[in-house]
Amino acid sequence: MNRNHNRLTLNSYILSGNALPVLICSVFLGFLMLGTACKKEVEPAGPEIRLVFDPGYTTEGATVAIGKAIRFRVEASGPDANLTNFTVKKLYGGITKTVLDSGLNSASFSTGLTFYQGVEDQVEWQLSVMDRNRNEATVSLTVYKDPNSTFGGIYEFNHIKMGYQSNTAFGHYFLPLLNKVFFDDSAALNQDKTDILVYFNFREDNGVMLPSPTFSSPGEETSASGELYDLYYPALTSWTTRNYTKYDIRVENGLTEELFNQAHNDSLLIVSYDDVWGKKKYKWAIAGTLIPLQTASGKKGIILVEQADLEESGTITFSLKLQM
Amino acid sequence: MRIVFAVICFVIFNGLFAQQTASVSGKVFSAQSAGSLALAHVTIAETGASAVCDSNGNFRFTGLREGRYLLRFSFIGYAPDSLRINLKAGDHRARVNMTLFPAEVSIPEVIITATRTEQLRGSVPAKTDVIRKEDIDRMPFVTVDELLSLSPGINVTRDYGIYNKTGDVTLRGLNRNVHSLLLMDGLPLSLLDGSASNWNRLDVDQIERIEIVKGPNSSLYGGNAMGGVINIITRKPTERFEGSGKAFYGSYATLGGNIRLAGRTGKEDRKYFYSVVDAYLRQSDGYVMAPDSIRTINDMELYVNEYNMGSKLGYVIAPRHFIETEYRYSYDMRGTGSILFEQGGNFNRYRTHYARGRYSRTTEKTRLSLDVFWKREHYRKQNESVKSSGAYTFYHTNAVSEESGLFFLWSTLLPGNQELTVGADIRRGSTDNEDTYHTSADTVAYSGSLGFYGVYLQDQISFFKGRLNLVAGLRFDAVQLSGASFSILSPSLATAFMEPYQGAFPDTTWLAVSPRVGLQWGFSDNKSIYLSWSQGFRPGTLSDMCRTGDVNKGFKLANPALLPESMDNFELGALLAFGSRFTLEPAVFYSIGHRFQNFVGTGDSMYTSGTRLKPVIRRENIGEVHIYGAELRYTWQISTHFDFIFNYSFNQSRIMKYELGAYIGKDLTGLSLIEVPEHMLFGRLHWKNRWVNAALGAKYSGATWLDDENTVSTEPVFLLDLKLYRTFLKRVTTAITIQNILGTRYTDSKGMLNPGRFMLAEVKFRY
Repeated sequence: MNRNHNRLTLNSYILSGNALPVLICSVFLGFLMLGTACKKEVEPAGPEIRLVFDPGYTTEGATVAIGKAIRFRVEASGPDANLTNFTVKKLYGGITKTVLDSGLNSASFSTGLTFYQGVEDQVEWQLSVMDRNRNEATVSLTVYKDPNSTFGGIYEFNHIKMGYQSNTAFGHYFLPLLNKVFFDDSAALNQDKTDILVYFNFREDNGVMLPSPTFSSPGEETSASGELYDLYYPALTSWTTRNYTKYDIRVENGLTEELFNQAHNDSLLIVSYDDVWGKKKYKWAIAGTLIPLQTASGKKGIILVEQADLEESGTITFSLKLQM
Repeated sequence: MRIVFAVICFVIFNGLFAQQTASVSGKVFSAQSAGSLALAHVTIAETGASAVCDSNGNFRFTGLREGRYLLRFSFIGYAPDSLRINLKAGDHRARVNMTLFPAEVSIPEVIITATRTEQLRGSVPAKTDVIRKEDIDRMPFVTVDELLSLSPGINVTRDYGIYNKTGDVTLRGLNRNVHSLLLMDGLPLSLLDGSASNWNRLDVDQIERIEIVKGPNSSLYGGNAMGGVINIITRKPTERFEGSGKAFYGSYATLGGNIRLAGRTGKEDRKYFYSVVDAYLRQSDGYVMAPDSIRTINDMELYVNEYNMGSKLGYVIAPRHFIETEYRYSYDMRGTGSILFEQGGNFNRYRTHYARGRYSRTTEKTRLSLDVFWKREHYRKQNESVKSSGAYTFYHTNAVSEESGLFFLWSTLLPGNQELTVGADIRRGSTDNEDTYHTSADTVAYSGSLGFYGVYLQDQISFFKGRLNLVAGLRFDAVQLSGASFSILSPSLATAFMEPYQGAFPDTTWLAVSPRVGLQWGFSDNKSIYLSWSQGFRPGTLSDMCRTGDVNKGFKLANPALLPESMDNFELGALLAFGSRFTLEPAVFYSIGHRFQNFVGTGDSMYTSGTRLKPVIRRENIGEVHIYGAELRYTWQISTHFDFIFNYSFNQSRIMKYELGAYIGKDLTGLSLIEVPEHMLFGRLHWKNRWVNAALGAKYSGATWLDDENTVSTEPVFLLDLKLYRTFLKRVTTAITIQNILGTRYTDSKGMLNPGRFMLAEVKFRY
């Protein structure tokens, strides 16, 4: 038998179709191998965090009087992956309370933080960072309450009456330090003292639009845009200092009118406000509502709403107790 | 002298005569195979002379006088064509080549999807459509779902063109794509977990045809086959070796291509292997979808980066007796149009593995088929945002959906012109979904499995020599939700509000019975009417049954007790062909949907993520929906050069009962379903000629409601698309597709822009 008759060029062999299944099976297997190819994992380095104990910052084992500032300076970096989360937790009496939980996306940061000494005798402060690979690093220090400290004094402002955005008889801005209610022009001259403002609109709750007397502050939006600035108080956009007051929005905050009336030092104010729930405005502030707050200067307070009209030309009346 | 005169006259006249004759020869080709067309007929209209092409497609006419002649070409199964030529006296080298295209309407169409057995389309008592390869090539579209515009009653939404996340296809007045079942080669492409079918992973060039069956078809296919079934049938090799490749470039730096190699080792009547390898790639820089008025530095282009590849291997044991396996992998990554810090911005990414096997044997009387399939899809979403409070949030969603199934079918011809079909399907799907936050310590997870166990029986009986056909079917499905759970690891403020809702859900099981009866009467070979009643159902999605979390409308609670929606459909339709040029396919239907699912409020509200007060909602079986509609499909082969397709559909989808019970929400009784256009029109004019073939498509989609309360609606949309193409050297085709040639810019329900005019130039080679 002449074997040369069976000798084919590669091209004709392929075109004859005889090699086609082999070829395509090879590709098929190639796909499978691609799918199962593995990569060598490299162990990433975790993030780093440290406290800087410069003068003026709280150190390990420090004692601080109730209501006084606790200051931290933190430096953190993510050598392998950007830092994406920074948290500060208080651990005391078996309780863990997150007081700061912030998102970021940065290779490093350095920041100063201010908290205020509460009524707890001993608190372990845990400061943690997490990178985008969810690796964590934590530093902690313990701060003690000054055993000789007493609760601080408070200012009591009774029956403050303010007008909503369309009210021309009563001012819209409250300045606790001056105990004054101002309209735009006067408030603009005292921007750094203006902590509270009010307006009225309708807000949706559970699919229903409800009338909403609202407490806010000049710093409601850092961008100074939105309905507060565009519709209600456009003058705010030209302010150079816009204080930001945070309102604890929890519906169940444990406060009663009786407790409010009995408060003659700042103990109730300190324990009532939870910064985790501190938001830029408080909606549906109807009569009887009790609202813990914290001003831009860190002063804690409680508002008791006594009367609230449900129209934008109306007024709202409230009492306020604020740390000195 | 007389003799001399006669000789002179003979010479002169003979010379004159000899000068006035001419010849023409040529060759006839098939557009389908790109090869010659043996036995094609060629006639000369003016003389009546005719010729039959030889085995190489060649023909020749001699002895023609000088003048203009019309050559007519014809062959069975191909559209006739003609060509006018000018012959000069003494010209014996005139040559004409003609390419005949497969006929549009003359071949009886066979459809499998309607009954899971091979049936002539005109004998099926259901509204069906078949989109063939020739139609696909003549459409000014670039994605597979857009091709469905050729069928009336299908609402294809692709506001962002090729940049859409998945493509959205709904049928017959229904408004969620989970209401229809998408198949590829008869096996499910839709995921059981209820996520949208990803049309992007399909390459137009790999498709042989698309079969569409409208209305409920759960009697054969079980769950989700409520609005209809769409079956995409891929190509098999027809030659010993064949190959094709395509490269394209277009608007927004869109580029890519595909390649296909296929072949078989033997002739059709023998045992042989066949195999196909194909791959597809598409990339595009994309466009910014945010209008100028709201654009910020965080808006970026909707980019696309996708590829897929597949391999099919089969062994034909005998004609219609084969084993086939297939494996496919697809990668699809799309930007969502915004970026903050992370590379690539926000995106959706799918990686899908798909494998299947089929054994099929068809004899004169019986058909047996056994299919298995497995699919695993990895979905990853990257999401960064800044909330109104200024808080930055960054998380990844990682979901693994896995699905497998076993499908058995046996059908046999019985005495009395009956064909009995029995089958059993087992299909299981599961999802493991995790939202991993990077800006907090939380991980939110949910998982669950859904199993379908169905058996069905179908009988087709013909009376009066096939003029009257009765189809009756019944299917039982047992559906089980198992392993459902919802959990949160390391909850922070971002997710702590969901903590009380954690836990494992009890397994639930329910049964579905899906009947179908249809009657078809053929007046003649090409005119028939049908009447049918059928029921369909679709289960709740795994997301609705297992996932608790924040959605646009509120804070959604999982509802593992969610019951399936079901639908009764009554339908009357006709298939009317007039000669080989006109077909008219009208249909009217009335559907009653039961236990339709909708979000309702529980009466509670909560601050999700601690910033926004949202109502607590849950998807419940609330409504009864009535849908009535009409469809018309009209095709007209105007001449050998022009053909025209026109579709119109009308849908009215009304909520007739809205039983809120103890839930909170607005009574939607009497209102319309959202996202259902009342009127839809599509027309396509195709012009085939010697220079540049052209296809012009026009699409109108009416306004749709955007909210359940029917207070906000979209504007109607009208788009014109154009495709110009020409084949050179029988193997190279160049084409330019211009979508939205008027450059209409409109915004969708989210206020985002469409891409405007979109052009794509391509070169295709086939061997």
